[in-house]
Amino acid sequence: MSDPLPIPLKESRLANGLRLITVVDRTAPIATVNLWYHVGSKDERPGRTGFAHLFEHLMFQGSANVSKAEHLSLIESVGGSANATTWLDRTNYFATVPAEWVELILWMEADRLGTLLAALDQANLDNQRDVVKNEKRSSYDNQPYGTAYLELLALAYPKGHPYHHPTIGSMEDLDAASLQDVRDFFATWYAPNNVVLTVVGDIDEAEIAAAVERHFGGIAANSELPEHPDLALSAPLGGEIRKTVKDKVPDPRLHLAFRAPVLASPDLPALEIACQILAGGRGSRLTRRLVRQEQVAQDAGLSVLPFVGGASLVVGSATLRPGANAAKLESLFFEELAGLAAKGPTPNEMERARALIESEEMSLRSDPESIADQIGMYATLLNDPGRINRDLAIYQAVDAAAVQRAAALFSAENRVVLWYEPIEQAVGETA
Amino acid sequence: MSGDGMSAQRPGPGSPREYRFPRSVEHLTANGLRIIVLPMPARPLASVQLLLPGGAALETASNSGLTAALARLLTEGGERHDADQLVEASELLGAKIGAEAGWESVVIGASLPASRLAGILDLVAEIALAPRVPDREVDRVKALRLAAIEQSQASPRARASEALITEIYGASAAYSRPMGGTRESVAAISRDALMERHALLLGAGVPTVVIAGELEAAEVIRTVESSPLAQLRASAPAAPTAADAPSDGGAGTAAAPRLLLLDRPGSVQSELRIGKVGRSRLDPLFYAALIHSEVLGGLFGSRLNRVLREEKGYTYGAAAGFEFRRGRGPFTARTAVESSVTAPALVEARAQIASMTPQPPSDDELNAARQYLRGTFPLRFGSASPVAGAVAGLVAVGLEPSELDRFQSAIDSVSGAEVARVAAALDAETERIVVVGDAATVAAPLRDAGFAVEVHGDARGA
Repeated sequence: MSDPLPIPLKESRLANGLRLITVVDRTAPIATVNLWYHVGSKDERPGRTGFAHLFEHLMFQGSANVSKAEHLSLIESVGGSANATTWLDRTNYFATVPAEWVELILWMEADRLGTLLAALDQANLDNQRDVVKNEKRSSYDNQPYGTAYLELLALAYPKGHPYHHPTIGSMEDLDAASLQDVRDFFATWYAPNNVVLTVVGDIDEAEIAAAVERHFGGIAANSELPEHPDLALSAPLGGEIRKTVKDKVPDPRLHLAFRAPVLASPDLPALEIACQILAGGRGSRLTRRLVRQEQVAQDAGLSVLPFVGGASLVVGSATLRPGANAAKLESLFFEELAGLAAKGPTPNEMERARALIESEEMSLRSDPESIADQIGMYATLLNDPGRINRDLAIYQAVDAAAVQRAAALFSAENRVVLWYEPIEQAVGETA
Repeated sequence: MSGDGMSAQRPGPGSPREYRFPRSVEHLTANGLRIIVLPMPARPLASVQLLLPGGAALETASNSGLTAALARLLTEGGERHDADQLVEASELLGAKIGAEAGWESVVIGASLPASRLAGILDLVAEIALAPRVPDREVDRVKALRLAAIEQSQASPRARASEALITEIYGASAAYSRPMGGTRESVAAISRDALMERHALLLGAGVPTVVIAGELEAAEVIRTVESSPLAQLRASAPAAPTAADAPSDGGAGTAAAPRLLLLDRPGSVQSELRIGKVGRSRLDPLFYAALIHSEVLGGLFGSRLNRVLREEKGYTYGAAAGFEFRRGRGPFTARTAVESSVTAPALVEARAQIASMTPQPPSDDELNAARQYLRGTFPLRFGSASPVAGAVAGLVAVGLEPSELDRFQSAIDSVSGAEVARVAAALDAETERIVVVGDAATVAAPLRDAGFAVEVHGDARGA
């Protein structure tokens, strides 16, 4: 295809350090507002895990001029939708509204950044602590295999490393969170010089810039914004780490993690293509071999979780077919990974991967929310918002040799092997 | 920090922008294939959805899951391509081709660059007209479905939802069963039955292809006309079934409503479900029912979520609403709560559902729901795939694409009295209650709260 027109990014910065990026996109009468705060679970102190995420909840509990729980209701009542997510490296808030309401969202975001502590009280904290504990129960503890990613992080990063503990935190630490802890966290990290604000849609850029100045301009920067913790890993994994979890699951499932290059690494795109070739849909190597030919698995997956420091992770999984042999599933999985590392992808696989990448790029570009999110990520984590316009060329330039090189990390010295097994089976094994 | 410098004055709206759902252009081929094209400027990723009428609503208890199995097997190859060749050919076009069963139809779909439309039409037609359905893959699809049933029984969420529909609908009703089928019905699936089902799929009404994206309508129609898709023929619709017949099983009494408690020993949460027979998509009160659902259990500030999450902290979220199908789909309320508050949470959830009649939605509630549905309407249709999907969904239940043109005005004109009629009609339906949780912890408090609790064992018979 002919290369798409570049997404027209316009960047500016307020005196207090807030970074604003706007993109005019008039294909639909909507606008999306997306904020990336550079704070995540990596920035939590020991004994206070789950804080960044608990805090994300409190951001919806009102500020000086927005009452408790009004934030989302107000957005819905103008015909918009909003949410937020917390991850190891960042916290992200986003709302999409009919374009005529975009300034209301900017005002609300400024109000909670400028005045959250005016509304924060013990009752709000207690209520949202309960909500988050129920989120942990329903999304992790009470789901079959629901704790797998908590286990993988703990196994792939050493104790004490900022990525060792999960974003959801522990029940004990959530219980220990005091109002003062929460206030300190806000005062430390929620500052205009620690956020990227991206607005995409049917907007007037000058009007947005003026509104952002009007609403955010008076919020003081934090001149003592701390450094993020050191993410360096002192040593490679240095061998296979293996664990078995007995759980209330119907069938055994294999979970894997490999340490991988960080987000900024030029090797990451080739690794993503390697994962696509190995596990992206019905034509992928793992699905063909494990699910269709050998019929040892119900499913097979492999994908990159990119992080900024130390190491990213490639995580994989496959659920054993009832009656199939777990050892065989595991060895076939590794055989496919090793096969790509040994011989590289075929020309047909590369051609298919490139065609799918092109479609994905088109899909991204038809969604203002995705455009804003991608820009926010690249600006926050790579200091390079313009990367969004180079991505297609970067991915299309990956060649078979690069994919083969990327697959070299799928080695026995660099993997975490985590099996979930039904509790019942444990009894059978001892018989 | 104080509010100094922050403006208490909330910005109002700027000048409103019009939204129009993409206009459709239609054409009927000589054989009766209906072509609907929705040109969308600046949307180079096109969507193709071929809708074959005659979905899982036609199934009986003994062949339940046959339609879903057939849909999975369509992508296992056709006359010219085996399964691997098919996926390779579609990926070379930048597309992932898939087929999915619904209650009213089977849809074969793909998203791909608009410039490659002709190539995908060949593949879609090939698997629609003459799928291979190889024996080996039949066995594999059956085995995977049986394993998936065990997986869903282990998931408290899925187990609760499946038990609820079995409670709501009678055993003869297709809606009483999971679309993928039951252990017994899946085990009985044969290649012959699948091929018969496929023949019915080609002879159960008007096939329709919906194509959206940066395309020129007349050119798309020419492309479809000259593709093998044009071999698809219209026929008389299949005889409808009573897919939505309600259950006549006991529901307990008003003082002691029956509650089905599915034991999950050691569960740290209880999954709560309350359900009734709901409304059809063809119901004249459809738009009023949408508003009703938003007020009760859709919006973040809905009655259920406000009380159960934001006031009580019982849950991460609570929701309720209608699922609209050609027949009367279910109305369900759903939440997951910490085990120790199971009884008070259930009492509170029922109270909120019941509140809709004595305390009809306020003007604020009605306006919030109207604005939300109006305003988020264009948000749903940024790309070609949901546009084609929405049109295919309407066609499947016998409505016209123009229904989407009037969505926003129809929402605006819903009155409080119409919402009250929805609530009153819902009150009159038999209530069904399912809880999945640790019976040792929750059964006694539920009995104390007045429920006629019927405990069923672990899914695996433990």
